[in-house]
Amino acid sequence: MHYLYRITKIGGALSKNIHLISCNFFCFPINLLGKPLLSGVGIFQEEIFFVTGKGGVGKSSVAAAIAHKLAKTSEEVKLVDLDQYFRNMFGQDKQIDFSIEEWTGMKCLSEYVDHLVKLKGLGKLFFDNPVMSKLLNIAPGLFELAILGKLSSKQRDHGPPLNYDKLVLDSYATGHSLSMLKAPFVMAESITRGPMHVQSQGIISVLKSEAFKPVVVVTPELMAVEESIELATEIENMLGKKSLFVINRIYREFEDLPDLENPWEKFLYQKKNELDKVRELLDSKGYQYLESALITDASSSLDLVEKMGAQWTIS
Amino acid sequence: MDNFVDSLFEKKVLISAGTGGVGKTSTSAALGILAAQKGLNTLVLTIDPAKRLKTALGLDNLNDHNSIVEVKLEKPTKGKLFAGVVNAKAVFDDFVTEASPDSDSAKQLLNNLLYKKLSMGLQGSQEFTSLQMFYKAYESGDYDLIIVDTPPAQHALDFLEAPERLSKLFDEKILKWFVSEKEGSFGFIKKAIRTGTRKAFSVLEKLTGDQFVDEIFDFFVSMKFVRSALVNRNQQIGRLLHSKEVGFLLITAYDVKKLKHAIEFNGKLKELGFSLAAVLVNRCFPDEDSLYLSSAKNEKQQYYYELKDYYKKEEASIEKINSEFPDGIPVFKLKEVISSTDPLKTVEEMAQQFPWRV
Repeated sequence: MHYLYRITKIGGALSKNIHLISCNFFCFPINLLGKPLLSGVGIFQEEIFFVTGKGGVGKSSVAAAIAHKLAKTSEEVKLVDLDQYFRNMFGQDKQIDFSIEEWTGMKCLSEYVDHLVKLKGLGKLFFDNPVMSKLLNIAPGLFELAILGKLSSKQRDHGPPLNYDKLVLDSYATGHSLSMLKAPFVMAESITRGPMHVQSQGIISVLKSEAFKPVVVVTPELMAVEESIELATEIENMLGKKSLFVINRIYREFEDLPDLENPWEKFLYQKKNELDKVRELLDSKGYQYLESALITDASSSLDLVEKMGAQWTIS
Repeated sequence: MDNFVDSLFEKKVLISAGTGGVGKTSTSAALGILAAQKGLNTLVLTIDPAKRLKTALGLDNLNDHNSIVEVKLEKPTKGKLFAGVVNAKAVFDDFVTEASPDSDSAKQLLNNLLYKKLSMGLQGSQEFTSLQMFYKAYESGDYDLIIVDTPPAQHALDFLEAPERLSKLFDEKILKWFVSEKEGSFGFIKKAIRTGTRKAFSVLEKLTGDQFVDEIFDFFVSMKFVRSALVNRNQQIGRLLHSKEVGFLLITAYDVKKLKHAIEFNGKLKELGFSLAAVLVNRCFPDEDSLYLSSAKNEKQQYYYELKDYYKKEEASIEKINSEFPDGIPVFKLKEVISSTDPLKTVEEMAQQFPWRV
């Protein structure tokens, strides 16, 4: 594989800034090479983006970058936060163009119960009951189902109304995300009748539909990518669709031959080789992927997601 | 700092805690290698090791009944190094079988749908099973030192709270309610509670259906046999965790958000009366100018400085962490290993970074 670089001038004053030029280094993979993954292929066409990845890969930043990117072309974009990660993060950024919502399993469930039982007070009785509150905490998959239920409520036209054009869920790390996606399948299989069965089936059909896209964030480390491909394969077996990969935190690549006596140059060279292997692996498995460089010069959280998203050309 | 590792190894149990993606497993393995080099028979218990590390440690061929193996290192060590993977399902099943009065009641629970999910995926069950496995290893007396790698969690605190949460779930009153409701004997519980709970259950049934509710009943009813064993074991584990033989290691990464979690974690540890033995900050930038700088002023060198600056910006947060731990708790930085991509070599190199030599 070969890669070209393009240094783009970003206006006189700014081009003197080494950081900004270097940032632009990373625009190359998509628009210059015209990789098959993006030319002619609609990317981000879906309504729901389910972002997962191993811990520490920058999953949340990527989710926010996707939301910010989508907001450039879509009216109402929601970024859903399951871990209060974004709380206070964009506080000072008045120009933020997507909305952030914090969801918890309990919140999603209680909204749903209130919507369903209608009778005032009955919902409260349900959640305040000591036996029930213990039970809700132990019944496996219930919270996960509640989250997926809310996530798919617009498409199923069931549950409290939820309006958006695009929704990005910053989901849990890999293992927990997988068990969340499995929850409606396990439930629909083991509970063979009743509302639990029907709603689980409904959720499954949305997950399988064109509205839903799983996104797997990885860092350019072969071992970690291999494991993430295992996750993506499990998702594909369940949902019949391929995940979109985002390779995050890529070190800058240099074309000239390295001085292998110098440990730093050797390190960069090894990193580049590993990145190439990651690309090859993803290509060979037929995955689409986006690349995102390690951004070293972000002045704010908004600046960071802006710079991350600027690396992606979306047709 | 010279005695840093020595004082760590005076403990019988070290628990590596931290949020996901900070290199807990690698760090635990690195400490295990060090301890074995020092002559301690050491067990490293991992939860979900990365595949290649698993292979490197020889953990590929483990099964339900053989969950601990001796690790063969290139350089032989004075003490033996063992590694084990916690198989949550197997550990839970064994626990249930041991705690049940007879095989029928064990089977009743083992075959319950909710139990099957519980023993694998429920919040707190992974934590319970890893604590259970380490407790058994501790009780066996086979090891001088046990290093426990905690399950991946959003928050490091989950691990500490899990046993109690699990005990509370199986509150005696609650179990009695299910049993009496199922058997139609309402002697134990006041009428008011019963009526309220029944109403709540009618909502649940509306929500989920009768089949789901039936499964829940069966689960709680068959849980009655193992409840006291579970609560007792949690108490034993709690006592051990509070003893001087156990030290907590807080593993964090060079990331402001993760460091913030680390500070929260320390507060919680204090509050719960646990003792923090050390803080390890992983994946620090390997800034060794003398090693990496050449006379050539090329773009690669420039990039080195750019990255170094980037990491330096976070240095302030590290200093803040230092000031948050005033009780002489060592904060130790581990540099990212860049010379090797082989997982076992990487771990061995990490071990070399500790201020202690054989």
